[in-house]
Amino acid sequence: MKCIQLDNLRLTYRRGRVTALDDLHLEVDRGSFVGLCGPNGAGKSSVIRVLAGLTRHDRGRIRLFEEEIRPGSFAHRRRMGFVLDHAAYVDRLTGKEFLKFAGTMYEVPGERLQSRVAELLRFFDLSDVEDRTIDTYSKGMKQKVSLAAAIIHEPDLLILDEPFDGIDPTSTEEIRQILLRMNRKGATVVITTHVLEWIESLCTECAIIHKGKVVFQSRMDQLESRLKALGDSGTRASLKDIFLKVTSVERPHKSLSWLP
Amino acid sequence: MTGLNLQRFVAMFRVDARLRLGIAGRHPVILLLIVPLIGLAGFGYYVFIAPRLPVEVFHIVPFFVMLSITAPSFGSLLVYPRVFEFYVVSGTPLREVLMAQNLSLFLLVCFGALVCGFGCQWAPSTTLRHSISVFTYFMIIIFPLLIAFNYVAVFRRFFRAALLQMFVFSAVLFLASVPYLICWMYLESYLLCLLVVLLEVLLYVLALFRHIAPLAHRKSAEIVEIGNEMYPAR
Repeated sequence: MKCIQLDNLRLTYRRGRVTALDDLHLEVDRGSFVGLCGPNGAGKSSVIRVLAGLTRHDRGRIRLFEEEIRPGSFAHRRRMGFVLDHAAYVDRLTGKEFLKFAGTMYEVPGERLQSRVAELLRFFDLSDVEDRTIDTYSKGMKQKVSLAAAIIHEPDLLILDEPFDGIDPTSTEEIRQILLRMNRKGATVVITTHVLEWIESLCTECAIIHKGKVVFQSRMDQLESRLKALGDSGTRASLKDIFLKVTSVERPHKSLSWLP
Repeated sequence: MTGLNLQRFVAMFRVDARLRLGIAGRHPVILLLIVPLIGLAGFGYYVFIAPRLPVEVFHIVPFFVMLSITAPSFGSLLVYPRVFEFYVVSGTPLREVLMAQNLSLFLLVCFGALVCGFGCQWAPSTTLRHSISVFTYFMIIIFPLLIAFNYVAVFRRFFRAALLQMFVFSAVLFLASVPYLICWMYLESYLLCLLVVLLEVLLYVLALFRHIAPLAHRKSAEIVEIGNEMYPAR
């Protein structure tokens, strides 16, 4: 059963002069943990913004939870949770106020909402700063609040754009644990990251986006056979090998004159 | 579209009102400070400024001062793009969002003007008839303004926002004064004024539910993009 199906998705900026997504095709199975990676400007964040309804694609088909998504469709997003590249939405609210607000928007019932907000604040070590406005939080704290708001309604699909960017190792481990638990509980998780090791340690599936297209997609346990299919006879396949292979094809050798 | 969720509606109303008042993240008790401050401003206005204005206009001024304060920068209803972005991402029905934001703007304007006016100088110097006159004028004007503001919020991509807002504000003010003048100055009929207000409310609800909200749903991505351009993320 498919959770996300994107067909021939095309997105351009600046009146068609810049192509962000170029007939992109991506399928994500329900219950999987997918890592999207790619060079800077490859189109990872654009995919997420289109899924979040924050950017309108020029053409192509989007199906979520086996249902066709049309412009103006909103209800399906109530089953989704997003952590976007800018962490906080309402930074003039306190952390506690924002979580309550987010839970209410997702229609989490009153009593459950109270206990869930308290639990999330405790889990993410935000209880001490719960009455401070979010604009006074550090980047890691903002990221935690954003994640807490994204999971407060137990979404079926969790989508995170660079969730570990600028986060200290302790917070990173906490976020990692939450994502794994959500996935174990049945939620589909999609993350974008530059750190390939995260994908290797967390994800069941990976997709590499390059120049607005998905140039590679595979289950993590099939990487070796896929690498061989790409013409590499290496004994141990890593995502890095594949990443370099599929994204560096047209890249000329680069060097600096003053470095050996 | 789903039915109205009262709890969600109240939460949106509260957040919008607190952001407009600039008291988000602070204890609601701060309102106890704001009310006397508005009253004090009203006192200053009625003692020092109002006597120099024509009697026909000086009572309506607090409404417009409050309107310009609570519908800040560019006068749009969607003044907090990040909050709007969250509504879009969380799949919150925009019909409810617009209703909650409109109601918060409307009530804050009334509240502020009442504290400012009644709290100080209004009662002793004016008759009941004059007070009703001011209210009906305000009611006649506010609903077309709300409709116009909503349209501007959705369509503003195509215009220089501030300029358009000023133009819309003046045009609606002028146009909405016409029924008031006909009803009040010439016919002096409360009933006719009431009828005009009722018709406007009906038109406002229809416009919001049948046209503006579905339009905002379809154009939500564009509205977010405009918001990001106008108010870049910090």
